[in-house]
Amino acid sequence: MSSPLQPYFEQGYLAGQRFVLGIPRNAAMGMTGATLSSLAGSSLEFRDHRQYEPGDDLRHIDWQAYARTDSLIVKIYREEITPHLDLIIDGSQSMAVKGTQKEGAAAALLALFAAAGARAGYSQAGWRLSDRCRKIPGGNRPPSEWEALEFTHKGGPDGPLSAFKPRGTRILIGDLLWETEPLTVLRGLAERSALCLVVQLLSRADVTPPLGKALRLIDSETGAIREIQIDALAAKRYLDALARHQQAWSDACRQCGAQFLVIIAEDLLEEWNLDELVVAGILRTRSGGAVGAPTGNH
Amino acid sequence: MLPIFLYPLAFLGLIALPALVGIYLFRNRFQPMVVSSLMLWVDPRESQEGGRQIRRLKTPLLFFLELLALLLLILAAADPQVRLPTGARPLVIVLDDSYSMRAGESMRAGESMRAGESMRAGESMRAGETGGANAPSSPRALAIAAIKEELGRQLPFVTRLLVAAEKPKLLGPPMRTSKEIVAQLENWNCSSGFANISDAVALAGEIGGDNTLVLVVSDHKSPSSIPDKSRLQWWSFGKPKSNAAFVSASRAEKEGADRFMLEVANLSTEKNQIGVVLTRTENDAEILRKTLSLEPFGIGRIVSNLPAGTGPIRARLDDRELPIDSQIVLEPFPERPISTQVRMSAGPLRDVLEKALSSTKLSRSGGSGSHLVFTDKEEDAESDRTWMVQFLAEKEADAYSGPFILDRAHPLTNGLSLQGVVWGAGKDTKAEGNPVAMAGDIPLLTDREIGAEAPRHFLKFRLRADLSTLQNSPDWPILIWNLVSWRSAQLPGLARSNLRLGDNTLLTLDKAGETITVTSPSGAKKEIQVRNRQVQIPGGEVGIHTIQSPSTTAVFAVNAVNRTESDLTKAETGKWGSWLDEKTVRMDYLEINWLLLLVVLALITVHLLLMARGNRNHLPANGKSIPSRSIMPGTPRKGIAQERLTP
Repeated sequence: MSSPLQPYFEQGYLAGQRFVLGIPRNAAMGMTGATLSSLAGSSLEFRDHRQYEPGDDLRHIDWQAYARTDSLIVKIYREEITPHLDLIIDGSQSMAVKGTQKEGAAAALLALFAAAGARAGYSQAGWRLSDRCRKIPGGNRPPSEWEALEFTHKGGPDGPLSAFKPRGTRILIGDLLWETEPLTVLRGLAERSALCLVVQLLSRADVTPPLGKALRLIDSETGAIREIQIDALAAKRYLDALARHQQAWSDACRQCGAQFLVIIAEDLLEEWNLDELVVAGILRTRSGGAVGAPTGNH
Repeated sequence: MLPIFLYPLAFLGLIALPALVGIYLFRNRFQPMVVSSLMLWVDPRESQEGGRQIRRLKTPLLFFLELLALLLLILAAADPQVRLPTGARPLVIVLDDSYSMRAGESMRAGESMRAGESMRAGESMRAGETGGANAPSSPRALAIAAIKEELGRQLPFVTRLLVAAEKPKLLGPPMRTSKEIVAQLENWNCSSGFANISDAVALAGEIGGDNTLVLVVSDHKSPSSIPDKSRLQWWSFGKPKSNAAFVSASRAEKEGADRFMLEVANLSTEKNQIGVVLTRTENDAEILRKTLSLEPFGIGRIVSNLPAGTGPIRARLDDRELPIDSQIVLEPFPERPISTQVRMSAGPLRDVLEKALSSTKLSRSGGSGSHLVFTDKEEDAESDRTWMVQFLAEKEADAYSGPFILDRAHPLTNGLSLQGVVWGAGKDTKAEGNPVAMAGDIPLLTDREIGAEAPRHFLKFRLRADLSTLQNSPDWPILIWNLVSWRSAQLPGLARSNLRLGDNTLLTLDKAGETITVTSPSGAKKEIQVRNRQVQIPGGEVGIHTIQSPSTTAVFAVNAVNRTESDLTKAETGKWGSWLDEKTVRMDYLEINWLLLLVVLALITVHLLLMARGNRNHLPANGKSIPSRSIMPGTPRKGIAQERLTP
């Protein structure tokens, strides 16, 4: 029996076929692999010379150049790496609020990054974030084949995230509507990573509170109720709070060297406009052409 | 202490309260909506205006502040006035002293009398008063309780008690404390046969002045309407009840027999069987027992003769509603027969005189020294007690047919008309003594008083029988009756021995200047210095009164026989009138709307503070507004918004 998320996985997979996941500039050094890193490494492929800096490997000093110039010049070789992608999905119930497309968009994004990563030669691991980060069985396979991809947790993580492979690319997808301090979560996530991307996936309803309505708001996770008349001031107050929350995550990401993106689920699934990811260098097109919405089924 | 409101129409503003509630209710209609998280919705306690979270009507403090402020504004607009604990106006309380105010009191004494004790009626009343003082159901007890309550609410500047009896009388001096007033109220006995409340109210207005408040406490409604917002209030504490009562009682000599007459009224809207028992007071021996079957408001009459020599008798009714009118005591009538002697020549005048004298039944023939001596000669009295009546037949005389001039103040002219009478008398205009009857300037009958301590009278009839028709007219026996009755009344002793409550009896003494002692039924003794030989003794208390003087001892009974007072069916409970005139409000009340307005101002201040606090909560913690960013969801972008980070 096919999962209800299957169409979203397919859409994401199709979109990912047009991209490859970008190699981070600070990808893992000294590791051998099939993919050339953009950084200097220990492969046999020479890339450039530069002035010696304390700490450089003495074996890479170009003694001939030293003899000619009386200055220590080191050879820079391109590093060969085997990149790794950790996909962390927020497993909280708020990701699957009825009437929103957050669950589907999350599935599509997982498939997108997994497909783009596979095309770039990335190995892959899937993680589900609840009170802590748990590896998803079968996480090295496409997300559509992941087991136990469910959104049932109430609340956010209790502490820092860890146990990720060093120098890997880590992408966290979630709505981030937790009370947990962002730095607490991000320190472990971004530590020893080649690239860390935090995608806040929100629904359109999360960013556009209904004006002029008297609503009984029910928390999707705790079931708590708050009754409120939403007028311009209340909406502004909500949006201000959301902005502050996002600002806190943005600041935390900056401190940890991570990138922070906000994606509106419904917009993503309607238009598949991934320009921002391309501009940020996270995705690269193989042909260098324009990107657009996926047009066919997988 | 409830305030009064000078402008109660302001309470129309109360319709604003449901309007406010309606606004909040309208704003509280909400639809359920599941959201990702409530963490971004600001705590409702930090908001104070539009868009704040409302947990129905019980949570928003602002709602209650607005509700309270509105309510206080309406109250202030109604101009509430609070009564001061101490008034600035004097108060005169007019106390209805009629015995109907004791209706419903216990009849301990009456029960004792039924048991055969030889207690006198007056003593019974005293016991009834003591027992009734604690009875809460009588109008008197209810009135005292209401007065105490009123004094607790506001003590007047000064209070006077005015008892409305037959004549109003002040009860004690002016009082300034509740304790004094309550103590003085215990002397309010409600023992009068009639309460002249209108005179008492008039007196209250006079003794207090313009600022005086007058409170009337009674058991019936005012006969005239009490204007609202005046200085007069009328409180009534009566309750309509059925009652059986003696409404008339008398005892007199009738054709030589001792006869009594009792009238019993069934003062009820239903037919009743009323038992009457007549006993001798000295040994409680039963004389008569009878049951009267009376229609509603019907009267039964018992008339009978008593054996000769019967002393005081007591009659009781089988009724306990109002003890005072359910028993009476009748003393034997005072026997004061006079002796007369006719020393006139035989003739028609003597015949008609003797006939008239015998018809009075008040006189008997006597010898020399009789109380009345009739003569046609010039002669003096033979003793100090003899009154001489001289018939003078002058030779030169005329027949006068009137008009006759009568001294209506003289006892002899009582009921005398001389209409159509021809009076033959001399022509001399000189009068010896005071003229009692005259034909023009011709004195026909004169009266000359002789002596000071025990005055005697010398009466002169100028009468020519052959020229007169007086002795053959109806005025003749009247004249002789008046004469004999007058003389009888001048004998030492009481004129009447059985009185209605409030009536007086005339006591005649042997000599002028004696001091008498009157002992009332309650045992109170009162000494009276009698200047002349006669004194009016009031019957102000139900029971047996005893009079003692150096020369005589007399006893008379006072009974409460008054149908109007005994009729309790018209009793009523209510309060009429109000003291809330402009003067009372100005002097006895304190305006408090300024206080309410101050509270409203405080509420508004709190309201504003709460609003201001809410506004501050809309700003970030550092007080600066958040700069607009591309990721701000207030301007959501299609696709992806990215926070560009500086490496």
